[in-house]
Amino acid sequence: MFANFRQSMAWLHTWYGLVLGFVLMVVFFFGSLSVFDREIDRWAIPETRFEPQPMPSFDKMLLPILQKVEPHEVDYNAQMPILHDHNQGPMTPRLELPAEEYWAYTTHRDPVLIMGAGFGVPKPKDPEGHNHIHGDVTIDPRSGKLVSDEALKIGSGWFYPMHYGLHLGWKNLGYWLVGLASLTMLIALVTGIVMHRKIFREFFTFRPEKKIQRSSLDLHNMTGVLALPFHFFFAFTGLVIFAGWLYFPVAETLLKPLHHQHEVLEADKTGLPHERSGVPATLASVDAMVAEAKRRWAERDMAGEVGYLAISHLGDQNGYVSIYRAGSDRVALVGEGIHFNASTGELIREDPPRSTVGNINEFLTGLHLQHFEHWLLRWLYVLGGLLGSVCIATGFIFFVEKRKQRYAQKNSQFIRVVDAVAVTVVTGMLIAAVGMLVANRLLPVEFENRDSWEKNAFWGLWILAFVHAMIRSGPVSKALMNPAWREQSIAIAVLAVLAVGLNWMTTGDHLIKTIFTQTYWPVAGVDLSLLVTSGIALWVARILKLREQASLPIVTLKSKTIESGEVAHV
Amino acid sequence: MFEAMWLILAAVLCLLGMSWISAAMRVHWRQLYPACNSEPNVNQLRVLGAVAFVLAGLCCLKADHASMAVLVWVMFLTGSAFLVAMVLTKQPALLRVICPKFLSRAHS
Repeated sequence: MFANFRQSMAWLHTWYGLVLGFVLMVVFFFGSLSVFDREIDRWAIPETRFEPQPMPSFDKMLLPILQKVEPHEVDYNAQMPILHDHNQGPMTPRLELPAEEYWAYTTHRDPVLIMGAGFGVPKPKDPEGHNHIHGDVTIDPRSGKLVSDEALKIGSGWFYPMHYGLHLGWKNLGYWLVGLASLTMLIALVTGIVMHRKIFREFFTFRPEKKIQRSSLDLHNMTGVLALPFHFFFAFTGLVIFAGWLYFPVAETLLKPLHHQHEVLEADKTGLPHERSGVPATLASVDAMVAEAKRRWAERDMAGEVGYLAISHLGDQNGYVSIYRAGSDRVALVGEGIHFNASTGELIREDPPRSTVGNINEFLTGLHLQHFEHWLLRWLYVLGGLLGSVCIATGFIFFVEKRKQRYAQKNSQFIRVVDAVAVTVVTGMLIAAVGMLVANRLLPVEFENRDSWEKNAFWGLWILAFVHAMIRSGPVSKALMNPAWREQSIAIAVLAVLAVGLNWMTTGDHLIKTIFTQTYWPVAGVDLSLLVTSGIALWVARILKLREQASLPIVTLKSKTIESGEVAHV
Repeated sequence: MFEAMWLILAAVLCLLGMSWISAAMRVHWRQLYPACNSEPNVNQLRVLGAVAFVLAGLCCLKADHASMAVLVWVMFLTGSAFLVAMVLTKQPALLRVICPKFLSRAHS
């Protein structure tokens, strides 16, 4: 089929890259935004604009709130019919489910505290399964006041899940698509290296003054090669994170009995009970356990704050409290767990140091999820993510530029559609993201289903961007540029400035205040990023205008000239 | 404070290293000195670049825990390579300060 190995790799790179590149673009862009998801949350929910707080008193503040948490209605409606054994009678009503576990989680970037409860299913279909309906709340840890469920956490609750799940929940379709795209990224990186003949010679080469086809290929190669370790590790670790439970769920399928037996044996070994005993018991002071855990970490020269706290088998004699240290000073996630008997407060177990394999796994997972406190590295991650986005976007542009003359001669509409979709996932995606921030500031706080309207604004703007890109894509079929690139860049510039202005108008937090007088970097950072985005978008629009004008005479060229002007993808 | 100083030093060293590595390539050396017909002293520039990268890695290790330092180092290399590429695109003459003419073969 192909003359040589390099050609077959080029085919693989081009077509796999095109088909799944659209998903990859979304993954890379929203992954870059997710580096500052908590900061975007602060921008979107003005009442949470205060400094990060350590975990407050469990006994005095968290416990009374957790006792009022209810099973989430959506989770109940989705899970209860699956978990409940209908032969044993009707389903237990949602508000009568017994709480069996509590948890609370915070990071060094969270002013608010997320916590929740797991509710047992009294008549389960599979008594040995993990039968839980969940409910969670977000609170202001200074006062214990609940943060409204309708206040959408745009960063951690929308952009971040978009990065790994595309908000396609049906049968975990989004997770699978992202996994397939990550695998394609790895393939694209390897095939890209194989087909790139001058990988070292053109390491630093970018020639913007050349034709779009040449300059986009330069930028594609450069951003792909320079950030190769970043692209490789993030695609790989992204797969590692989901491999164990989703892509290879052997513990829940083929090896389920063995997995269950392992859990029981492990519980015996660690002293952390696997099952409830059925004997009721009260809860001892969790604050005392937290103090003891902190003392033990300090003794090991690892003084730190609590990152995650969980109570298992709540209200039972077998109940235990697990306290994990916030891993803000290292790449690995929360760790150094210390476990106490929930009713007596006695120490059950201190987790031993991880094995080498465990350490490697934690490092790989941690480097992707970046819970650490290292602002410089976070910005470098954003740079890596944006370089990846540029690499993918320039890949689309090169694909279109290389073929549009040929398709124009054939009068085919294929390249026109590819270009319109590329516009949609590059500039259209930015319009959707920035437009969502504008909607967040425009919608009144008391507006019913406010979060749904913000999501509608996101999807609506993205669909509009696609429609606009399609309508304006006529020139592509004549081998010209699609003006939608330029027009959507202008829209991004306007929306970004509008978002900053609306933030000022609705909250009083302008840049002079958030940088100088009452410094609050999460909001200042988002505002500054929006302004920089606006500036870049305007600059791009201006360059595109010049390019559009310059490309006009090209249509008059004879096909022979056009063919000879093509650049091979090497 | 000391961490910040080590990190700044690491960033500067990565930038220097990438500049020297890029200047070791004939095509980029010509961008720096278009009027002059000299050739870069490839070995000297590559060794300088490699030493700068190693020193940058050590600076990262001084600033952070090893697991963190390795990530910072790799990302500094990426960032500095991108910056050098952009300088070569827009203002290659700026790199003459880092890559003076005496690093050409004719003057070695």
